[in-house]
Amino acid sequence: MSEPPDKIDEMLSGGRLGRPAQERVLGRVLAALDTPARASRRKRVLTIASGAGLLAAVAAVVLLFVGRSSPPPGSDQTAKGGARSVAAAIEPVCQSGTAACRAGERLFFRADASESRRWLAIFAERTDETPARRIWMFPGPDGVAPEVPPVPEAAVLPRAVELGAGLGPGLYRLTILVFNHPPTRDEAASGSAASLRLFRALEIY
Amino acid sequence: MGSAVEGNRELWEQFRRGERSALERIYWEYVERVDRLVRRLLHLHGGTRLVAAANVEDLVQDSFTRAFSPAARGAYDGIRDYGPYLLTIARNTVADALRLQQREVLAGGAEIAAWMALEDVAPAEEPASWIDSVTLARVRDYLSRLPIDLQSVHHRRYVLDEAQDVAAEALGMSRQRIRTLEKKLRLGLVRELKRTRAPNASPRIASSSVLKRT
Repeated sequence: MSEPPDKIDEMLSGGRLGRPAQERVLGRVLAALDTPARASRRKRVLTIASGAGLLAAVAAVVLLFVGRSSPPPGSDQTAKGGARSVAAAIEPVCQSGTAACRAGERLFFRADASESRRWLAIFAERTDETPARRIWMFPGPDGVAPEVPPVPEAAVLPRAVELGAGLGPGLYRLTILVFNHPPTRDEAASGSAASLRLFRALEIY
Repeated sequence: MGSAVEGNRELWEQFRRGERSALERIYWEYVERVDRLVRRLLHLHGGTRLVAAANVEDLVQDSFTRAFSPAARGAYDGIRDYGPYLLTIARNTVADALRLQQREVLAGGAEIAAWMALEDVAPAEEPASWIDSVTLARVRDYLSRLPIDLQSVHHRRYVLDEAQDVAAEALGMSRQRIRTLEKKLRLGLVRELKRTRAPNASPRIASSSVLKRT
């Protein structure tokens, strides 16, 4: 099923949310309240910034990104799924260390501490397109979704996205879906099996 | 505004402490209004097309996530009605989303108050107005041809808005069976929309997020 479940539910409910969607929303709202505060996440990032090499450099980028970007709706602390406190945010991190990414550079993702293995599906949508076309980052053309291993502290994932053709300059909304198993593209497209759904803003210049 | 929860001091104390039962009760009290306001604002600023393209579910979710955050709960004094407070947060959520699309949001506190007064009398518009008439006809046709068990589940869950356990008891089914039938309902509609999609569909239909998203 490639259509978003929310629109199908809305059609079945005569054009409003309807009970199944309302229940889904409530579950995500309550789950979002369980996620740790932004402040504690920043503290953990500071901790990893004392590490060496790329990890430290990218952690500094995270601080810059989090501190400078103005969070648009649904892109700040709004966790979107059934996350408990150990399964929190995934943050995009530009390779260059600026709040916005330069076209052609690489985009990394930083994952908060987690006690269990998780897998990511990520797509971008231009905010000036209606309806917006989904530009898939993960699973990639090889169908592989990156794994987030269990780690005690925030860590930057080794797999990055080249911001090349198809991701030209502009403002994007990233949808980050977190799964408890490696998702297929169909599962990722439906999003219904995701345990967590996050939205982040991404500016490419 | 005549809400059943306004004036319930104990409930609001629990709400401010973030007790889950209170949050759930407040949510169920207001979710319909937030849903309607979000659609109304989207409609005002972009017509039915914007309502169709927007993810209303996400906007409703973001509104409640903001409203239920410790800071927003703490900022509510418990004296004024909660409805206007919550709907202002919902309005700001939609405004932020529209701003990302370079659309200005004009409706402010006075407009929301006027809208709420009208809403107490009658809903502002037909909720299904964002669905184009061809798709709406297909949905209705699909529903009319459902077998009786699926029709019953649709009626209980999508028309009467019953909780799963309530619907299960009323229909003499397990909750698992209800879940299975709901999934069947959704998949059936997706297939029906794909099957009946006309090759020369109108631009409005072709641009529907439901039909175009990959």
